[in-house]
Amino acid sequence: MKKLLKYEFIAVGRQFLPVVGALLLVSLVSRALGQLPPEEFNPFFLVGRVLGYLLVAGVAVFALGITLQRFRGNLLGDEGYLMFTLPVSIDALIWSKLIVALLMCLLGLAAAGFSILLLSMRDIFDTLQYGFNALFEFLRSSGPEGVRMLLLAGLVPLSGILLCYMCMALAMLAGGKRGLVAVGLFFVAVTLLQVIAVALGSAMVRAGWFRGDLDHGPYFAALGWMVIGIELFFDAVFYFVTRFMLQKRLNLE
Amino acid sequence: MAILEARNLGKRFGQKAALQDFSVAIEPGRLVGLLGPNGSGKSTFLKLCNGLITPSAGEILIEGQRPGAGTKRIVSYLPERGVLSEWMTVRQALGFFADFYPDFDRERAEAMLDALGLERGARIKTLSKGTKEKLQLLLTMARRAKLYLLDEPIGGVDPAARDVILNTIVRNYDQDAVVVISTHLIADVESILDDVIFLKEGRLERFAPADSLRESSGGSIDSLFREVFR
Repeated sequence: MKKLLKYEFIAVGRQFLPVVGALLLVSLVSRALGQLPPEEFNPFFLVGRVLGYLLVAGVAVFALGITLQRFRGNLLGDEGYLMFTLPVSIDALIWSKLIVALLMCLLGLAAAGFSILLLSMRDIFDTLQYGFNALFEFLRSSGPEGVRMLLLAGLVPLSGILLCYMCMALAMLAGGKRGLVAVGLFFVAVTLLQVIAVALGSAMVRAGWFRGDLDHGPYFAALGWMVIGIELFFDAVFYFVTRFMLQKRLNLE
Repeated sequence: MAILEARNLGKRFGQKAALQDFSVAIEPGRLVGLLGPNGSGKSTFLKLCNGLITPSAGEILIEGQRPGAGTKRIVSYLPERGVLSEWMTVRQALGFFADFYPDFDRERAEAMLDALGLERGARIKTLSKGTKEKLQLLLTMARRAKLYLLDEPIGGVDPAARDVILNTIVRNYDQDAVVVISTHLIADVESILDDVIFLKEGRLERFAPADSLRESSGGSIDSLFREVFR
C-alpha cells in the first residue's frame, strides 16, 4: 500500500502541483499589482484578477479530471494490465487512488480558498487569523456538532469520488463508448440519490420533525447523524460494487 | 509438479466461447510456444493465468494455487500492449518493478539495459514503439520468476529486433522456470521451443514436444501450422 501511495502521489503531484502553484503565483502577482495607486488604470491587475478567478475554477475541474483519469487510465486502460498483475490486493489499488484523490481535493479546496482571499481581501492575514480562530472556537465549543460537520466535510467528497469510481467500473460491462456509459450511469445514480433524499425529507416532515412548537436541537443532531449514516452506507455500496467489478468482471479491453 | 496446469478451462464472452475444455500441464524448465491464428484464444489463456479475467468453467493452477496475489509474485507477464506509465523515465520504471517484485534482479536489468542500449534518463513517452517493447520485455525478463507469460513479444517489431528479443528471452530465464510465448509468427520462434501448443478456435488442437511434432509431420512446425490452420 505504501508503495502504491508513493507512485500515486508522484503521478498526481506532477500534474496537480504546478496548477496549484500557478494559481497561487497569479493570485500573489495580482495582489501585488493591486497595491499600486488606484488612480492609475492598471490592465495587468484586471487581467491578473480575472485569470486568478479562472484558475480557481480551473483547479476544481482539473482535480476532477485527474481523479477520473487516474482511475480510468491507470486501472481500466492499458496500464491496468500492469497494475492488476502487481502482487497487491484490489483493496490496496482502490484505496491508494481514493486517498490521494481525497487529499488532492482538500489541497485544491485550501489553495482555491486562499487564492480567493488573496484576490479579494485587503487585510488577508488578519482575515485568515480571524477565520481560523472562529473555526477552532466553533469546533471547541460545539462538541458533537463540530465532529459531525468535520465528518460530513470529509464524507461528501469521498462519496463523490467513490460514485465516479463505481460508474467507471460498471461501464466495463458496456462493449464500447465506456466513457459515455459512465457519464450516463453517473447522472442516473445522482438522480436516484436525489429521489431518495427527497423521499426521506418528506417522510421526516410528515413525522413532524420540523414542527414550529418543537425544540429543534435534538432533531437536527439526529438528522446530522442520520445523514452521516446514509453517506457511509452509500459509500460502502459504491466501494463494494467497484471492488466486485474489478475482481470479478474486469474487462480491460 | 507442474508449474502451470489448466483443467477443462473455459471462458465465454457473452455468447462467444473464447476458450473451451482446455487442459494442459507444463513441467518446469520448458519453453512453450502457444501458437494459433488471431482470435484463437491465446491472449485469453494468458489473461486467465494472470487472474486478469476469471474462468467460466474449469480451473487454472499456478504451482497448485489459483491465480491471485500469491501467484502474481511468481508470474512475470508481458502483455501485448504498452502498459508502462508514459510520464516515467526508464530509471523510474526499473525502480517501480524493483519496488513491487521481490524477485526483480536489478543487476540483470541494468545489464540488459546496456545490452539493448537504452538510456536510463529517457522518458518512456519519448521512446519509439519498438524501444518501448524492448523495455517492457527487459523488465519482464529481469524478474527471477517461475513462470513467464509473453503475449506476442515479437508481434510489432522488425525482423532484426525480433532476434534481439528472442535472444533476450532465451538468455534470461532460470532453467527451472517455464516460459510461454504466444505468437502467430511461428518461423521466428520455432527454433527455441521445447513444446508446442496449437490453439484453434479456443480448443486445444495439439500439445506435444516440438521435436516429436517435427518428426511426426516430417517438416517444420511452421509448415505443420500452415497445414493445421489452412
